[in-house]
Amino acid sequence: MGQIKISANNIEKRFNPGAPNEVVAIEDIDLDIEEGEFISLLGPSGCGKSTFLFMVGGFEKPTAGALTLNGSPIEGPGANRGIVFQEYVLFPWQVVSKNIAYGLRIAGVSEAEQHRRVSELISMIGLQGFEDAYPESLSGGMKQRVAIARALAYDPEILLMDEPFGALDAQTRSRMIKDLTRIHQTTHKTTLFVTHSVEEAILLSDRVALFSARPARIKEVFDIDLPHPRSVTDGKFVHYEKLILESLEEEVAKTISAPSRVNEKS
Amino acid sequence: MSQSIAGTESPFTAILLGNRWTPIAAILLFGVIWELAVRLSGVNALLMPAPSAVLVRLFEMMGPGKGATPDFLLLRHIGMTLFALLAGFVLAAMVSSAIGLIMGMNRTVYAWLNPIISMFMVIPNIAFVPVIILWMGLGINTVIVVVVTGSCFPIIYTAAAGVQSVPQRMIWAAQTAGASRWQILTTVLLGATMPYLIAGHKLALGRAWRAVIAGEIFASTAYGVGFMIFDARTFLDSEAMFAGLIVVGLIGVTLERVLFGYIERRTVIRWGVSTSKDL
Repeated sequence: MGQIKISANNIEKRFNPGAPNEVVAIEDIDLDIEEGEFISLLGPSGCGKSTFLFMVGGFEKPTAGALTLNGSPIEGPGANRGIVFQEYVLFPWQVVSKNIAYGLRIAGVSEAEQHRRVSELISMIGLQGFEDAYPESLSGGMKQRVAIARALAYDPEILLMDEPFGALDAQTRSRMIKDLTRIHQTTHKTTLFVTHSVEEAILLSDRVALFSARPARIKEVFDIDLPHPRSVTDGKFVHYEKLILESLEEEVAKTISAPSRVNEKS
Repeated sequence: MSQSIAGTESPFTAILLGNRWTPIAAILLFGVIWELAVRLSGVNALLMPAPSAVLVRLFEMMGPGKGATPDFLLLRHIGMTLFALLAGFVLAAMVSSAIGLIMGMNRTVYAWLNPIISMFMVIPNIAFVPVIILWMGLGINTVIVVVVTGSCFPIIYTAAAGVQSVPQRMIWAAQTAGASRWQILTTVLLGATMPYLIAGHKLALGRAWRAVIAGEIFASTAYGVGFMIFDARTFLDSEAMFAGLIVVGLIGVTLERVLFGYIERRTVIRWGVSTSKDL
């Protein structure tokens, strides 16, 4: 830990600014994320946490405030970040190994190096034997493993994950949590993990940033001081869960009473 | 498909319920009914020849010639038709794919071209034929252009729709991996649009086949299956006309099913992204 990797100062995001259908998605976010840290962005659905992630990704621009990566403003997407979406978004016309090697091909890495790196990642995600399978033939959990490997392949500094386990069944999800913990402990990638699951957030994160209902602010940041591997039956886990759930439920109640106008996932 | 109970059925029942032999059986049955209808009704064979007579004529035309008829006449007709089809289709495919992709990538180009293409698309291709004859006269070049006008619009349309259907996040994933605009086109858009391109070309080849026959009927001067059908009318050779229709049907089905069936199995079906059922 130590060095500040990503710094958000007074970030504001309005959609359709000035128009009658203007929506303030994010009102004011201040957040510093340290190098190597695993931080979860937790909040009620539609609160702007994915929007914040996409701003770090460089796909959306803040309408006010300063968002920096290694001290320089984020101008657009780039290979120092890797991204994983809930819907996997693999390239269906390419086999697993080609999907994983995508960023390496873009970077012009030699075939031999691509091959070495891909087989390393394949064993990290436990998909030996599926190198030549098309994504179509894989289960949801396997697809998401490939997506994670694709994002890690070109060795980005930061891993951005937008509700990556949201579409998976409970058993697959708990395995993926274990695997992601292991991957984070070996790679030490700074990871931003958007989720609406308190359990996922506590099991995975060094810190949990709780977003308020829209327009978003950071309501609270929880330091999760628990050794890995973590368990949902652990007394301290239950303690954190109670603390975070109480705070989250206040925000969820606000979203339910307020009519929502834009879908955050647009 | 009723494969789950196929094992318990007699072959006859299986064909009746529908299996892979049913299409052949259906066509044979159609031929038998046609044959019986002609024979029993005693209709003038000049107006409605029996399929047996048509088949005899068909094989006759494929063999060595007699008198003024050159050898392998039917094969020459088919060869010319396939040549015009291929020339026109390849031309249309190259130009239209490029136009469609550009339309899909650029909103302004789309906004200005789409209304024009939508209008052209509803004009039956055969309506262009007199105009093309006016410009180019009769001959193979005219037939090729008729094929182009018949097949270009579905390709443009589906290519543009394909690019627009590419999920935003797929492009984001590529950008995050450092892909430039050009790399996104070559590594993501082309692959993601492939199901649409294939569906568009399949549709277009069907249109092209119809167009080449129609074009030959009006504009060909010597060879071509369409020309043969039209020319046979002059000699009241109804057997040759029907033989021509059979050839048109057989080749048309082969092109659509066999050729594109193969391409689809190798690509979109393997990728699990086939759009054939949607179109």
